Amino acid sequence: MLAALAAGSYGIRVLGVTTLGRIVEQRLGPLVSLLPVTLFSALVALMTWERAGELALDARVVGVVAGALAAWRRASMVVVILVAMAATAGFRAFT
Amino acid sequence: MWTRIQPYWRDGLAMSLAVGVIGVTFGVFADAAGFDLIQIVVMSALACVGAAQFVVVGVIDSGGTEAAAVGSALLLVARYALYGPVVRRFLPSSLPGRLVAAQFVIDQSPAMAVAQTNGRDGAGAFWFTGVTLWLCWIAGSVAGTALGGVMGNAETWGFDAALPAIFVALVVPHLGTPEGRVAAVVAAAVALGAVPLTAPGVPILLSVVALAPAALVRARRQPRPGEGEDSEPERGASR
Repeated sequence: MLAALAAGSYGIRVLGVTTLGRIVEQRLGPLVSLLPVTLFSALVALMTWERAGELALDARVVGVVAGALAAWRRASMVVVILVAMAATAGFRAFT
Repeated sequence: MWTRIQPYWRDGLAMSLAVGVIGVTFGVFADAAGFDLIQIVVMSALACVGAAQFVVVGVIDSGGTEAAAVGSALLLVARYALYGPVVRRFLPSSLPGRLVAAQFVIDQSPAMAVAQTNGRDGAGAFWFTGVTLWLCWIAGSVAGTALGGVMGNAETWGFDAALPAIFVALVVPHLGTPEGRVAAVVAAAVALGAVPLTAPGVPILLSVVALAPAALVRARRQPRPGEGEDSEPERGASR
């Protein structure tokens, strides 16, 4: 089972950086520069509001909003991470 | 590229440490579910698929079949194929080089690569983030099997908010243009809208449809499609 998981994951990664990646790159053309913001924004939304395959509203939102404010004020990555963790942990501690 | 201190070292290291702690929770979780050290190391080092590893352990622990465990995990991993087009330009052009680089395509490494202002730093950020994250994830997983419940729940410390916050920091610079904002908002809405309707892993794949409205916005702004392969015009606009 673990061999299948490892082989499957590696195969998907290899496809992405070889043939499939090249095809997607050619099809999208200059739009490829918008692919990162698309994928990573979706990732933020899912990491914030999804839990075990369902939508969920919990303390993560507080941290992400705090982190977003810090990032918007051009704080460094380290600060953004610490602010987000502190806000979420603090919210959990007081609720 | 290693001759002077690079700004991406600090960012890459910070996110790797946060991910390493989540690796510890994975080790604790897998250990409690009856997985042995070898299995945990194989999962973290060879597969290295983060959240999908929790899915594998969760499915097996709740009595699911191995096929169901691997199937649902690989669906979550499918997004890694879409990171290919994002990072291809930073990778070695030789096939062996790409085959090595493929293992380090993790959510954070493509994101860090595109966040750099030039191609050489992009490649450096990809490798540094990918390898550091990989090592921290493995080390965290191993530590988790030994630590057991000692460190308590990582959620108490807010580590589950660290992951999305990392990507918030990486997305913000892309929001300087109208097409970047449209792509971000539509992608997030599509992904969340798809959560109740599809299996985990599918929503992020569907979010790619956000490229269509973003393309319209961009076409209205710069009526010269096909030009300007210039990597990240939106960064310049936002900083």
